[in-house]
Amino acid sequence: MKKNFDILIAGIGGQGGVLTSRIIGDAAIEAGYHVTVGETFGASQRGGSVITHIRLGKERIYGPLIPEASGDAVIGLEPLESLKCAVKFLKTNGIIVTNERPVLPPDKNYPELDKIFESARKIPAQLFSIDSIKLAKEAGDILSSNIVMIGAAYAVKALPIEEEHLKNSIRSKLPKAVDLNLKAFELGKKAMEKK
Amino acid sequence: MSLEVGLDAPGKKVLLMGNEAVARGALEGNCQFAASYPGTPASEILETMARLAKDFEIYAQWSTNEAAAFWAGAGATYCGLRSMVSAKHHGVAWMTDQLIHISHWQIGKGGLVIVIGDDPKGHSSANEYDSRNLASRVFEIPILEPADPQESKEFTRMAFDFSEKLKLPIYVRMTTRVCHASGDVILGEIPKEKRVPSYYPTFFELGMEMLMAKGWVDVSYLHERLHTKKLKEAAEISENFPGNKLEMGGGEEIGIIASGVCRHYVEEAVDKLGVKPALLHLGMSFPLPKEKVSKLLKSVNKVIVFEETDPVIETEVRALAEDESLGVEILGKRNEFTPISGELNPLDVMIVLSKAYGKPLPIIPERKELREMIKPYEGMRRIVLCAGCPHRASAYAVKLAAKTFKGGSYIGIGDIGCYGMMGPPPLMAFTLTNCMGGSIGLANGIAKTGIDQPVVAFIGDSTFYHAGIPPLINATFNNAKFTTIVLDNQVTALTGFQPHPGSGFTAMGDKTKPVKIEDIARACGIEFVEVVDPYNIKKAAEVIKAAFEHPGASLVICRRLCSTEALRRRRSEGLPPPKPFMVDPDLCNGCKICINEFGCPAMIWDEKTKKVSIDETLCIGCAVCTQVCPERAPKAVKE
Repeated sequence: MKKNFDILIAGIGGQGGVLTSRIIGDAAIEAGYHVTVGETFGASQRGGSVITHIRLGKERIYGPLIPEASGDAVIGLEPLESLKCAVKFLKTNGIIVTNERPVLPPDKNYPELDKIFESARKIPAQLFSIDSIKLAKEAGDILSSNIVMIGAAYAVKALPIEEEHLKNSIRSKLPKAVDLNLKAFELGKKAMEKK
Repeated sequence: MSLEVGLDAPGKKVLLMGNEAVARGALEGNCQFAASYPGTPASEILETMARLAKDFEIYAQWSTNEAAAFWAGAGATYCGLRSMVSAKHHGVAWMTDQLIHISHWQIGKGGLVIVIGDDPKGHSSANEYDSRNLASRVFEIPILEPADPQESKEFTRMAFDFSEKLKLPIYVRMTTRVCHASGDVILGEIPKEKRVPSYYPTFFELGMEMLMAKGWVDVSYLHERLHTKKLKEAAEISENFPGNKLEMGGGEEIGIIASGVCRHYVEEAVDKLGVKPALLHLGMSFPLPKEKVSKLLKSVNKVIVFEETDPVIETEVRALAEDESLGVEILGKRNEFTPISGELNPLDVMIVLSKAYGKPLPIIPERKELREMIKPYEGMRRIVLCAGCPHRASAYAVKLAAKTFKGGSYIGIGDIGCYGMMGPPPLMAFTLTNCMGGSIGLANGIAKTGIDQPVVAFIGDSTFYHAGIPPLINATFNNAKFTTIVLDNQVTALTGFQPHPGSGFTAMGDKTKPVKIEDIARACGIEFVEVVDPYNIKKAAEVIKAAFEHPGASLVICRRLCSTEALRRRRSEGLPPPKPFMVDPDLCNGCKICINEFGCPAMIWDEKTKKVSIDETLCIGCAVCTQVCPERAPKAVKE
């Protein structure tokens, strides 16, 4: 158990960043952490950039916002959103674990994927990426892609929480599709273990 | 939403959002009645109350607007029940007259708690005004400011006791970062005894009291009583309130006063900078706990005040320092030592404290090249109407109608809702907005100037019920000629798909008679009232043109269920999403009307092929783009 650990989830409204943060938050409480999750709903439900701040503390916890350049890990649901978030919030040599499938903005102005990854490494950061959409389809539902990312984040130590706590949280938050989502978690985890 | 908010497990630690924690606090405080109108960041309070309602014998309603919510909530207090009214900060304006009245006169025997979500920085609002100004200076009622979910629960629970003791409403002032932050909360007891409603006429009691005091019905007595009695008692509560904590070792040079979430930013900044100021956390900011504040002011040289967004506490603290002739230096918004508007964050607080202490900031890596690299992509995801949104089709139909009527020029006025996104490019359906109901309201004045252009008021369904009806009657009353377009997507979409009077069901899921917009419009005296399906653009445009041609006020309802809500309902019924369309590349001529004028986010431009394709993950197969496309290139995918 870490003393303090700050995680950012970067994505786009509608990608399920809020549910992802609740799953991680519940797991962290079960693991005995104090937790705060900073979220913005409402207008950000619709296609805007959304960053969720998850702060874990063994003894105490501060406010819901992670100060600039001090996050331990960025879990990204979209590659460019991951980079934008990490440049602002990730500490030096922190972890980025991201889905590598871009979501194009309305004006379709978007950098090359290689350029995004090259920039992310320059932060400097430890970068891990997978196609979580492909793995989610393999698990049985495209909507499980953020659970794939939780599995991947667990595997690369972007989540200092035991696997069983994460799985319990998935079971209680997604009771209608437990097997599918646990499979998504495993697929994400295994994909990272191979790397 | 947390499944654990209703757990009867005192002492258990669960993760709750601030808004859920407020609902839990109300449950623990034996609140039996809740009313609200949806508004970010406060919507989840009533949503949670409605979800708890049937298990805990609570009544919860989405009301037509905040005025109706306030009255409903206050009504329950006259029958002895504890009651909670919640809203976002803009909603306070709708209960202003009511709150002034009730603070001078009297609530019922049940406690009344008003929970308001202010929105510093206006994340989901048209402005960031600080509603504490109204609560403290105009309503003159006690203000509690929780900093996190645990305090949101405790303060709400305690507020009911304070309210009944003082016979005043208590104002629980949340902010976006408190409403929407989740944190671990230790659950308390849920009372098992429910109150039985019994009407008690406070009016006569108060009349007698006034008569005895002044010899006649002199309402100035009520104000006098508020100042000399109730607020004095409230000040005593504030002095002993556990959320007002002074942490002082003695000998500190600098003192800090912080309220709400700012307090946590201060704690982090203090630890990171390694400084030791005297700290006064204000969980109850009005009335000020004067003894505690005074003790702090007397023992330090400088005091810095952190609060969002106006210098409400700071002004009170300055007044106290002046009253007691204290020479302490007070630093805050009024001398621009702290940011004078917007939301605070841990870094801003750290910057202020490093300035005050003359200590360097912890090093923040410059990452200059990287910041340059991402700069063009900052703000690139401006919020847009969803793929398949009926509002986009409605906007397009209005513009099409205007093109065939007086050369396309018209004065468009928007209102509050998702359709606010019809204003910016590419749709640019309107060029003016005000607050809820402002579309029809402003149209009245613009039309009566005699200006020679069609005047079009765009208003959503929920907004129409909320604030559109009196200005619509005004149009008939005063012979104003303009066209109202009601964008009826059958839910309060922007705030999370809550039901409204036209939906046919209530917050608690009970069936109710839908109030029809067309019936209201006709009853308001509007002679031209039509309902169209915006997905049929040509037909809709024809009807809208006829509305422009009508000699008096006209109203067209563009009715089609919100596309995102439609998807949600399909999903909950276990149905697959509708089949996306595909662009026939042989037919696409690369004109980009679908992107540059229609602006559906599912349309993707390929710079290499100079053709459009459709994002299969976003498209819901509404077929409106096929009608917009001159070549009819988007097609349904054959099985």
